[in-house]
Amino acid sequence: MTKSIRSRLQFWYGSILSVSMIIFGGLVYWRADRDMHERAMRQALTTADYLDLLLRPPGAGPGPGAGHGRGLNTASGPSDSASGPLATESRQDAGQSARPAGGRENTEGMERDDQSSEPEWMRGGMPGGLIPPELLLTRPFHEGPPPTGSRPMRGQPPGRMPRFPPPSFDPVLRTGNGSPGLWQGPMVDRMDFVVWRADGSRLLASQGPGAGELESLKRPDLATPGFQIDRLDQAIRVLTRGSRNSIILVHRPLQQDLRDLHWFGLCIAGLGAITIVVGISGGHLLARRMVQPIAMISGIASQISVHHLNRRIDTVLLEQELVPLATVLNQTFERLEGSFRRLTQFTADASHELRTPLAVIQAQVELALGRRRSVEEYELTLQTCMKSAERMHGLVEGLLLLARSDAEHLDLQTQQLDLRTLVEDAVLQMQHTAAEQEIELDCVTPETEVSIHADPRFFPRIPLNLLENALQYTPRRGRISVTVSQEQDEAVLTIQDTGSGIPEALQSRIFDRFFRADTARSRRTGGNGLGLAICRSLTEAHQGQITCQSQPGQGTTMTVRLPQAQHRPDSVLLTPVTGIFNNSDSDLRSSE
Amino acid sequence: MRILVVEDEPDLLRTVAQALREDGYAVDEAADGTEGLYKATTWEYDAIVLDLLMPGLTGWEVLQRLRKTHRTPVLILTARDQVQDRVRGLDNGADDYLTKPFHLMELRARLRALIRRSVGAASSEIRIGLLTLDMRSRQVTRDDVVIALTPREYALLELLALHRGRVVSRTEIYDHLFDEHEESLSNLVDVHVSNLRRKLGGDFITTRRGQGYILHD
Repeated sequence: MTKSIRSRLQFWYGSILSVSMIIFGGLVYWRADRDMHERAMRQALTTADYLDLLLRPPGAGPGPGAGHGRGLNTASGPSDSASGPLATESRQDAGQSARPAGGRENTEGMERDDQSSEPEWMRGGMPGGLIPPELLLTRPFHEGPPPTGSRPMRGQPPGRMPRFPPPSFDPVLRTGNGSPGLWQGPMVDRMDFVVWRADGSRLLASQGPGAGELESLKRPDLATPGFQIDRLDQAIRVLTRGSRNSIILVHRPLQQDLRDLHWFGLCIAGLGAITIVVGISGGHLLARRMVQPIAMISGIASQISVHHLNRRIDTVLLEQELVPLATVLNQTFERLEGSFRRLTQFTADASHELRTPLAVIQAQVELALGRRRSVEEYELTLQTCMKSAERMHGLVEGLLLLARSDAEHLDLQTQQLDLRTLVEDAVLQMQHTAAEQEIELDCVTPETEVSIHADPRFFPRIPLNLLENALQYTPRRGRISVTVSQEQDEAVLTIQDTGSGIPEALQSRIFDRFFRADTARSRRTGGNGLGLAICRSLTEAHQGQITCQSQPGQGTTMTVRLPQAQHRPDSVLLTPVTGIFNNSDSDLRSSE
Repeated sequence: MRILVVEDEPDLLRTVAQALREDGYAVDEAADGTEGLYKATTWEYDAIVLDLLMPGLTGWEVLQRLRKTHRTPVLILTARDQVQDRVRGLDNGADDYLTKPFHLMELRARLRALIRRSVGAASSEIRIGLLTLDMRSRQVTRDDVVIALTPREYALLELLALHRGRVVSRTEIYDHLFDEHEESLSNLVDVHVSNLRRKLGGDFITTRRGQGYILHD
């Protein structure tokens, strides 16, 4: 199975469509088949009923002798007949009403004879008693309530005479030689029938083309009352017991219907195939349209390069399901752009910071070499160059440290150390400078050990840089208080000064690289704007966090929190500091 | 010629100022943008060397404000070297752009060109009669014989020569010859002028009573 969404979509769509179409087509065909059989059966049953009724002695009329024949006469008189095909039939058969005359007499005879013998009108038939079916046409019918004892027709409510003769019956009787104007076409619903007398001789038989089949049949025995339906391959046969123990058999051939059905099936198959093809083509287009937004997203994503980081995916008109994806992508691009911007900014700042001392060295040397100078001048030049070189050195080291911690190459090897000792060492180092500036520097540590996991190569930078920073911004005769403490499971280092403080707007940015709150002062003391950034980087590498609180004009408090040793596993995991040249996310807002 | 150097890096400021002084310029120094703007608008300078990234007013701002009132030639000296920085600088009114680190040689040459351009001189040589002033070497020659002049005398001659045909007032001479730290005794100019006349010979410099001096062709 290919990995393409489009192909898969098309495949599944096509398969489901095909399967659905096949199932549907199959059901339709099956339904048609059943309907066909149902219809054929009903026709056969109708015909059987009809024949049954035909062959009954008329009995439902008013009592013997009482208006006898009236019922019968009703049908034969066109004026008396009610609406419907019955009347039509009677009218049409008016021409043949010559016979009914005789029939009337016959019926009278019938009244007399009732059950024991065949109806008189039947007698006028062929030798052997086989009545030509055409004769049935002339048989007068009566409307009204069905003769007593007659069963209601299948599907007909009792008390209602069905349409006689059933439409399917006519073509049967008119075996192709019908009168002009009548159905001359192929015998679509034609049926054949045989009626046996009780003794097995044939009373009635159709003479259509299919009659031959039935010729050889003997009178079957019908065990159960009611209809017996035989479903043969090519026909339906209905058997029923008629009056006077006669057996009626109706044979409804199905060849034509089956042919029609097969043709219908082919049509369904053909149309179904066409529909499937059309559907699949539609599915092809559908798949393409479905996949289009994905292609669009890919397109935009691939367009995003260094020069087009500001492009975003438009989510307003995007499909619902893709919006989360597009949103995530947009956010990623946003962060990428931000990172890139900071990278560019950082590079520009770094290069500027490095170029300036370089320019000093270059200018100094060029000037000194421009002409003969005194020894003092040369000394001054060399000292200036040295100062600049040191400055560059500090800068390069700081930058390298930051770059390495960004790229997780710090390779921190921590030991369990006492925070008190580390801090006291740093304070000692800065003692001299503090004294020079007449700043009071004191340090308070608890009695108990405060263990942390720290790398002795890197950790001391933190208190040192913080102290340098404090010294830089605290005026003469100011005060710096250093405190080490424990809070719950954290080791805490605070450095509080009485310096100039940091304006609130800048407080979140002081840990940014190259950020100086007071540029002039920083430059004078040789600061490069990386001190606090390094503090933060190293603190976070040690799983800690650093915060700043300040009141302009009053002072600043720097707080470093670190997890205490016993609550951390011995194996050190290096925490990745957030992305290269990234300041923490809280700065994302302020540094823009 | 008097030059203002605006640069917040103290060592660099000192070095550039010294180099230019050794070239015979009078040099004023400013360590930040505010000071620089103040001086630039207070005195007449023949050129200004301006750093861009400074505390207080940045170089951009100084330049923009300066250009509202003054047409002093400005050379931008900065570590920002991207094309857009240069373009921005030049479009904002700078006359030239030099990136750090730089060669002093180049800085001097560009300054000379700036000054030349501002007075409309075509080359770094000026001929006055038989005298030839070479602004590159800061020498005056007559018939290829170098006339020895002190740096001040040369500066004065150069000033008069660049503005030759036009009266240069005493005040202008003061403004363009001495930096802010020097005392300007009105006598000094006369002394230099008379020394110059003596050394040059001829009637090059004419005094216009009450107005100033003028150098004829």
